[in-house]
Amino acid sequence: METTQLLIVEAVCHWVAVSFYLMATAFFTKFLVNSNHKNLTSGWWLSLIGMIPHTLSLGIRWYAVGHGPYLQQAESLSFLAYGAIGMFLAFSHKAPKLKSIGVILMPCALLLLALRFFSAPGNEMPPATFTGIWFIIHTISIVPAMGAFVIALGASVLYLLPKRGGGFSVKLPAPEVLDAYNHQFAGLAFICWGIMIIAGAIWAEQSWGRYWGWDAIETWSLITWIFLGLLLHLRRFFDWQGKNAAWAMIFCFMVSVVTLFFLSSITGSIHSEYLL
Amino acid sequence: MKHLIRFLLSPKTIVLLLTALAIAGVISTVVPQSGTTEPVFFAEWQAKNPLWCSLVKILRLDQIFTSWWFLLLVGLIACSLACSLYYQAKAVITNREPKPANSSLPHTTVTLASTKTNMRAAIKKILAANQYRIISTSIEGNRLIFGKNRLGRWGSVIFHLGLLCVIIAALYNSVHRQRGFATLVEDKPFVANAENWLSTELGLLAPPYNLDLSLQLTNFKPEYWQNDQVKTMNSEVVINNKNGSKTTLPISVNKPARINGVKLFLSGDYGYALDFILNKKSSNPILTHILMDAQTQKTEPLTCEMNFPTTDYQLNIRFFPDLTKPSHFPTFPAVDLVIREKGEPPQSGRLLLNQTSILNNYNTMTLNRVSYWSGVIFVKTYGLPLLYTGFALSIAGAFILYTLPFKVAYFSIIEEENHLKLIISGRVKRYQALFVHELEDIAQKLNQEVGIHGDNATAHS
Repeated sequence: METTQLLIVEAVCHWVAVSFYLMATAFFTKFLVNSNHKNLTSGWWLSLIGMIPHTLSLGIRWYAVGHGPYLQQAESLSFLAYGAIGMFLAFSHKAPKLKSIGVILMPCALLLLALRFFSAPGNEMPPATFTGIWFIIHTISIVPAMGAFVIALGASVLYLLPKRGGGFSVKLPAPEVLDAYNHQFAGLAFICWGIMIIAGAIWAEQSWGRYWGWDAIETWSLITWIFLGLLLHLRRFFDWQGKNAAWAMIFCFMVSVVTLFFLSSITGSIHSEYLL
Repeated sequence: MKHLIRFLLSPKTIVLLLTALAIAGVISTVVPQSGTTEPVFFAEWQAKNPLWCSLVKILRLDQIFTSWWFLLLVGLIACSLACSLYYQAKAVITNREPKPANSSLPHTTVTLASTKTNMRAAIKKILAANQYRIISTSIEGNRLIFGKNRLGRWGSVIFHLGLLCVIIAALYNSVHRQRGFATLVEDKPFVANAENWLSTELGLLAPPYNLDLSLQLTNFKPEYWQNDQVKTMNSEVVINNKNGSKTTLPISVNKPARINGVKLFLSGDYGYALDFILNKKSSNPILTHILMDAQTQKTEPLTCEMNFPTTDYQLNIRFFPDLTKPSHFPTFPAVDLVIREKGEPPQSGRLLLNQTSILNNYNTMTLNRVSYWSGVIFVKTYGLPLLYTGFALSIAGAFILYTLPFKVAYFSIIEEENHLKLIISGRVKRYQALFVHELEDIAQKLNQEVGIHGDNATAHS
């Protein structure tokens, strides 16, 4: 098959995946309305089924263009959504109480996939310096980091939802469980974000002989990491639980979004050309 | 001294220092930094906002990361880390015995119709299946303590040790590092001394960057993707040794050449060096190099405008690396030239390699040579092994800290009239709600195994 044909198949797979994710989102939203657990289960299964064409779409594109889904904005957005949904499914399979986080996570993933269509994929190939295992780790570790961020965000938002006598909040996990998940995934995001920074530093050292250059996006990724570290410190030493921790997590998530999505378009940086 | 240590160990101090570090980072993206901004910008800024600009200069906000207050901040963080590390390690080493159960965690009670021996066996079996290991048993065997993820106690120590290593390595490097940028034209000798660098980045206490190294770049070959974007660049560096011998080392992007502790990197910037010779009737021939940046696509011609040094000639150049394909291999290069001289009509034409064009007043211009140039970075980095150790430790530490929390489960057996009662409690620093559920699951399993109510029994929290 020629590259053009492969890319058509990729687009079809992508749309099929988006359709499943849309249906999953509808079921998760329905769960919000009628708190029927069957809707939650249906949403979860539809997300899982959607992963199959999404995997195919990413794989076909990788094969067709000859590089992983980390170089162009459209690819990165799709890969981020894939990572977030994949992590959600994997963790919620092990801990079913996490399934309700799909209510927040699936719309976020759909938003990423929607943003993908604002940046049409071109046929750019990686520049000479974009090689080596540390570069790959640097670009890929952002996926679990953002996945963990979105799950922690979901736990925070669900925690902050007003608790009423009836309605959906009755079916949600206990607030202290949501808080514990928020803590756990903030920790995971801290690890993965740290790996991303470190892998980037090692790659830069091997490419230009300088592991840190205080480039705007480097600096902001460090700021994001510091804020996450602060949140974890505040939890440990100042007993920030519940609401405080949930709001702090939302703030950290917003900082990470600024670092990844907005900063690259307003500052000159080596990342600007390739980031989201 | 005690006050200082108490200050450095205080969680409030840590939060304050980390917040200050984050704010410094934010300021660095708002205030233009002198390393990455043209000096003209600062001159214009000074003229427009003298007060604000003076404040920025006094606080060195335009050079935040080398300012005294930023280094002091990083130094304080390092001291705080070192103190905290000492006490954390001491606490882990000395407190081998588990602390009493956390009274804030709900206790789970199971009523059991079993003998003590059977019950202990069941507890051990179920806890072993959950990866718990026994830490201690009371003499009568009524109290059992199990632990999980004992390595988790070291997580914080390892993580903070890693961070300390990273900060020390970074400070050491920021004091001594030496980086010199040069543009090397293929087959032209270059002496790596202070006066020849295009620019340098030197540590705070680093001397002028003199390597006393003579070398040249040869066999520079870019490779291309199918869409004509550059894929990689390979070349060789020939070192002219003092004894007259030559050493040849391969160099390519991401694969530096190493010479006496100095790493040479191809910067990724490259292009063509065009040598023109101007023969004037009235003076000696003048040779000049024109360096042109390669285009993103190899098929695109390169253009530039320049004044021929020490003359009135102005050149407008359109360079075709290869007229036959076109390709980047300079086999048939050519330039379309427009030459202007004051008071004379412009002359234009195509000049192939080694061709000569006759100008006004019988002057001549020859395209003498076409070769590649490449940006090369000469780097001396300090403390890299310590830095990499720090990286490894901090990631391993964070992983242990947040994925393997140390959990202690307490099982107290109370003998009642005709049955045994088991109280389960625990202690964990993180994710307490999840730990409570884990203990409830264990209680449920115990109930099913040796419970008085058999399979229908439930544990009570």
